[in-house]
Amino acid sequence: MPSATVAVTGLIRRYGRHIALDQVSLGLTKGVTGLLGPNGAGKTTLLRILATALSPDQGTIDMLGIDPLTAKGRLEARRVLGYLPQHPGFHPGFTAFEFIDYVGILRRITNRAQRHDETRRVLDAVGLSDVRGKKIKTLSGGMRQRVALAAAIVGDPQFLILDEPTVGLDPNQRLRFRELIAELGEDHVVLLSTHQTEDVGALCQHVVVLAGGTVRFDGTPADLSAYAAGRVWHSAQKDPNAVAGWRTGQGTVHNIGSPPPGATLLEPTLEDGYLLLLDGDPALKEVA
Amino acid sequence: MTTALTMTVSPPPITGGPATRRGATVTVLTLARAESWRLLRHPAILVGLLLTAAPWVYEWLSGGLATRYPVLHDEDRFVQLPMLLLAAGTLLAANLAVLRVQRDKMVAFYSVQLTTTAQRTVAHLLSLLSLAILAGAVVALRLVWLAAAPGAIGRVSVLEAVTPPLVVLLAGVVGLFLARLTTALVAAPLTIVALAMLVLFSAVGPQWSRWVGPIAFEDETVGSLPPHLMYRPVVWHLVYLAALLAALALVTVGLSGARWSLTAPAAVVAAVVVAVTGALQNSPVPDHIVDARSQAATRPADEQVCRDVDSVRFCAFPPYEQRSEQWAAVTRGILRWAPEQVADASYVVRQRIFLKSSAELTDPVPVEDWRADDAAAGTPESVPVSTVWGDREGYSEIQMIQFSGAFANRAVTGSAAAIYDNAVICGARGLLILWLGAQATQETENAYRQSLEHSYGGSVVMAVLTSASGPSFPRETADLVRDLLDRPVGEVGAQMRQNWQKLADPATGLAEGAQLLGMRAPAGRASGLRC
Repeated sequence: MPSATVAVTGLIRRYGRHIALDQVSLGLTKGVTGLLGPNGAGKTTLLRILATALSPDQGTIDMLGIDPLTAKGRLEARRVLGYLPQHPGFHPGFTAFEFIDYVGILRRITNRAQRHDETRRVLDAVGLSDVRGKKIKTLSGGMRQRVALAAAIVGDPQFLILDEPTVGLDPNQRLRFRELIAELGEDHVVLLSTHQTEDVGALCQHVVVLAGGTVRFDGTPADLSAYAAGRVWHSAQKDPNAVAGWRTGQGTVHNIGSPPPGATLLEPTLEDGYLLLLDGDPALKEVA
Repeated sequence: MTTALTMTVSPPPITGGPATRRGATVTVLTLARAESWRLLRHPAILVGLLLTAAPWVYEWLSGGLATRYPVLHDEDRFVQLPMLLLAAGTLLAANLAVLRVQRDKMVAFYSVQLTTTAQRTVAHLLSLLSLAILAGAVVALRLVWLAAAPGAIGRVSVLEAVTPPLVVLLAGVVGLFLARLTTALVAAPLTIVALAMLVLFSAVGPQWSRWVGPIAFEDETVGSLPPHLMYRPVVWHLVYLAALLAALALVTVGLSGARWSLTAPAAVVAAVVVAVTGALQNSPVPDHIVDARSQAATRPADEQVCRDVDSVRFCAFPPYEQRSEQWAAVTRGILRWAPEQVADASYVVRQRIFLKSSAELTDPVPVEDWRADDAAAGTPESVPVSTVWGDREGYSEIQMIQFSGAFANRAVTGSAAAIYDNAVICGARGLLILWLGAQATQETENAYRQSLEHSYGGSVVMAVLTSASGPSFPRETADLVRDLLDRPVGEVGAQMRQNWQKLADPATGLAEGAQLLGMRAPAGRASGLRC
């Protein structure tokens, strides 16, 4: 396993009496790390802390050798990180080019020619070269999301924080987005928050499951799937002892939990592992 | 979508700029430039500019500039009011530019950028300079345009001309300040309404309120004054506006997250300067200006310059010297119909200022002072002429017919005394005076017809400098003159010259005069005014 380039240790963040993050520690390396978790798991809080938008109450962060929890380090960290918020918003009156160019200024690329080159590069990278002169308000939802991604990668930051970037996209757009993120993961540290296990299965070399403010799993997608090994079976009717079960397209019921003796076991999926991991978690019902 | 979704180009070596103070400064300047371009294209600015310039364009297209006869040391002040529309547009546009982040729900994105909110605020502040330059260019264009108009006189005060750009800048800072105070979009329009009320209040309110607002108005009913008689503490006012701007700008940067230890002390100093200059600009008119006004209103001869045109000597305050060209057109237009001995007599036209002692309209002009002034200057029987000339929104043209009527009166009666006499001129003499005065130039004729429209009961008063002094002409005379104006001027003029002596004779009645001119005598006795 390559050495961690972003290391989070013992992170605690409270909102009043509610603990959003409790002793969260994790390490991120080059490639795409999926951050899975139900709603309210603390994903967005963790991402906002890593993006320097929020300070933790306790804990340390080493971001590519930078300590973003100091005033000086925070600015340094902003130079090396790109952040795509959950609801990125957009300036409808700007053209795609104008907006990315503007973000380039915010990222202190003050040389005009260099900034324009970079604007063209990132718009090309997200496949928006053809519409760069169009106002953002005239672009489709998927295109707008790609503009937001382009904004996050201006200046080629080494650490990308993407907060549920595929929400609201249709399957085709989601597929394209996955391709983009996969390519970025080849030479960047990418932290992708999602509650879609398919995204993780398709993209990630590393997955972290967060629930109730704590890390429940930290490993490879295969390991997460393996968590359900021997605990997935199918039957003609829903097994009342199963943790969860649903009728599949083949007409049989896919059960997870403790299989009855003689049950026909199935190859576990990432989702099976994830659901079993959260078994007993109050949020499970919501996810399942 | 045909574009490939792959990273085909490797990123250039973007350094993101050095994390130094210089790096931040360059970023702020770059951002200010980008924001400037956005501001200049903002609809609120374009609308403000359009509303500001529309009356000027209309004036130009309708030929109004030909009869405006601009006095540049007044025009530099008149230009300020319409520029407030651009200032209002600036306030709105600047406010919206800052609130773009909130309106477009991009707070989360902006909050993690290298460029901080305070730096963005400074960039927004700097971007306002582009609008100040635009405002300066508009003012300069307008004043150059007016300076090139026929009959333009006087000199522009640079300080007055600088006021609108500074006001535009200040309005923009107010817009930014509001945006950092509240994200409510309604704040800016409400503030514009409040500021409009402040401007109105300072225009009509008590003396102390005159300089509180962005621009200060003069009592324009006094008419144009030579610059040395005006008291406008413009320097203090500019410092007042600049200090207000600085104070607001510093608080705005402070509200954006900059360290208060950096901004607050300077903001306090600026606020003190606002208070001090606010008091200074409000000081009463200095004694030397009061004395100079009194001197100019009663005995101006010493400070005036005279020039002779034909048989007429025109004396004026120095900035108005060139105005004698327009006055000479009037005197020439009157004397062309006079018999030789009248036309060749020597005349003096002297520019006068009439300062009312009260708001009442019953003040007479200081005839005795003027007479003594003329005697001392060796210019007896001078005809008074106002500092106001031309047709500025219909306000000034009455002064043209007042001068024209007064000069005709002087030519017909051979004395200046009748100019100030409040008597009613009933007979044929009135017909001669009024027609001569009205027909002198196309402008005096227009002014005469205009004055008839505004007349109560149809009679005409030839007041001197819009004072309570001057003769009246009954309605019958005024009507006959209007009819005469409809006839060819050469034909009527020849009849006037031929019958001059009879018409000028105070003993000749109006009916007889009308008959001499081939007009039907008015029925009955003169009505309205007692003859």
